[in-house]
Amino acid sequence: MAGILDILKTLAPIALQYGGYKLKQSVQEDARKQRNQVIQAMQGINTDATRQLVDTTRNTAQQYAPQRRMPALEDQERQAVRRLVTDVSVAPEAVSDGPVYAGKTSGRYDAAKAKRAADELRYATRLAGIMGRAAAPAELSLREGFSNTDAALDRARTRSNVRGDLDVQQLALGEVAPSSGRLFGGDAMQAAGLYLNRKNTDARGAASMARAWGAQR
Amino acid sequence: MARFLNAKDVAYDNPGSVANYYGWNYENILPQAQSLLSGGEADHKRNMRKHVDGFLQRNYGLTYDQIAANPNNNNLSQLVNAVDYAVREEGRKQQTKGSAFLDFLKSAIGPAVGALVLPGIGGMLGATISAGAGGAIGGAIQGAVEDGLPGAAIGGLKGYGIGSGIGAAKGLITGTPLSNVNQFMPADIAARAGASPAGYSDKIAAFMGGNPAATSAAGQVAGSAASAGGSTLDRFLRTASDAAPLITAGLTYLDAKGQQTPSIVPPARAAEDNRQLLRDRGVDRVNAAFDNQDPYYDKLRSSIFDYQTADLDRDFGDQQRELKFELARRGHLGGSQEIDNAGELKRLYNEGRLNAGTVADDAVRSARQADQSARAQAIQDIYLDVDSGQAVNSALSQSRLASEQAADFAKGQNLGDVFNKFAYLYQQGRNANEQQRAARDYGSRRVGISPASTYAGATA
Repeated sequence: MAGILDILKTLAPIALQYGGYKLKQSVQEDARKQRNQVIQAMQGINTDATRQLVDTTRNTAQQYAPQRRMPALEDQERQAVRRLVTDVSVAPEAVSDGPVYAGKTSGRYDAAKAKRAADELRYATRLAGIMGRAAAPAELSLREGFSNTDAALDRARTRSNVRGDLDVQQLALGEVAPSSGRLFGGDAMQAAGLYLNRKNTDARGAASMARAWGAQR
Repeated sequence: MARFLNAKDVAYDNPGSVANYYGWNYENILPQAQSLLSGGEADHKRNMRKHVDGFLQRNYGLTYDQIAANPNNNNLSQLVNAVDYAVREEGRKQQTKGSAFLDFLKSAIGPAVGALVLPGIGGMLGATISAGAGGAIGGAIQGAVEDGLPGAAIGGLKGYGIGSGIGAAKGLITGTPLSNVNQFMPADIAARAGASPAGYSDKIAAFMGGNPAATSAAGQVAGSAASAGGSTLDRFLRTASDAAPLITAGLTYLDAKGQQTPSIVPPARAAEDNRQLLRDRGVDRVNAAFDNQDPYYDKLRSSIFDYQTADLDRDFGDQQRELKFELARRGHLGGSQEIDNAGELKRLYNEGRLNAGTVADDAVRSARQADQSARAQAIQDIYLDVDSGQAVNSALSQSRLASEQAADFAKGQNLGDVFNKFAYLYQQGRNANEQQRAARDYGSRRVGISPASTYAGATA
């Protein structure tokens, strides 16, 4: 029995010291995991931001795809032509009727005059269409430029968000530290192990001296 | 300027400094306050809430919950002051907590160690020495913390205390200088302490838990040691030595605990959210200022078009009259020549209107381009943390100037001589008139000669 007790007395300090060491190690490990989590969160923020930037750029580039650009151009043409046709079709009445002179005129004259007026209006409308179509690419380019500007601003917004979010994460990373309470627990266990160990050593020393003293006597 | 305010950098004696730093106002304080009062560690939340409610109660007779339930501009402004106060108060605690820790050491550790040193002496003397030792140790720790080695020396314990105060405290417990305690222990106390070594030796043997057979031997050993150096001191040294690692760990823990500041992450997160919120609101304001400009562009186009066609209409009227007279002079009124010329006149007029429309469109395009540039610049300014109001005003001024320039440029554009083609027709008519007039004048001067006569002789 005494042998088992001695073994236990010997092992207890070792167990305590090792337990204290493992506890402190686990505290450090937890802190490391916490740091890794923050770093992963930072990487996630960066990844999301990159995805957003790519999406924005891809969407912007899509406007130049023929299947989107041609309808956009046609839309601009329609708008430009409509404006110019309106400009010529709402001309003053005196203009649309042509010069009106006093005096009796023949039916052939009136018919020829009306036909000429219609021809001129048709010509003006066709000319408005041509001019509208000529102006449409410039208008479309302008709109594409606006869209590019919006995309650039979107990207600036994303970068601005990322910058701030990463700053916060950086602060969180700086605050990660091992738990002082658990570290204390580990230290305490190791101290207790040391104490027991010394107690055993002292007891053995005293017993040894007693034996020596007894032998002398 | 750093984006986030550290608790140790808070100007706690300057009311409003925190609110100014983060740009809090009655418009944005509620989400900020919610974030600050609900984020972070439990201690931090509790303290913040206590400060906010305390401030509101003292100054306005309100609580945070009352404001949150029924917010208005007035009580939200009061909440700004309360949150500002709460953060400053936390900053003050952090910046002044060092002396509190030392006070704790002086009041708790010192007397405890003193009591440990002289447990068996008792009486007035023991109490006096205990208090003295405790005070000395506490003083040594504080001296070491504040002044380093000289301070520790003044406390009566030499040879440690270099570096931080906690290093000094660790040295106090674990280092050799405690043997110097003898220096301020009266000799008779030491003698009395060593007077009954056998008793102590028994206790030591029992304490050590050794083999019962060795008890008397251990008593001899301990007795010898006690008679040599004083048993109370030995016991103290032994106990202190055994407890040293634990006390060191405890002091380290207390130090680490004392140095813990409230996490800066929740306020930083709140500040960042606030920044993003303010920035997005600023961008929305800019977009709203530039949004729905179509009526303006329509009006701009219409005014430029009218300006250009006003000249065109006047010229057209002039040309119509000229043409009428010319055709009348030629006797072509009511004929195909008139239809042809009138049609041509109308074609030129329509072309003039189309050109006027193009000029107006160009002007509108310039104005829109300028507006977009100004809008983009304003938003960019906001992303660079420029005040949104300033950015909007600057952009609007820029846009207004650009629009005026576009309109001025468009008005300066001249459609040119639209009816230039008719000049040849009129010139022809004028030439014919001049020829007829010349012939008439010539005939009237040569009496008797018929205008129809030629140099070849009379034909009639």
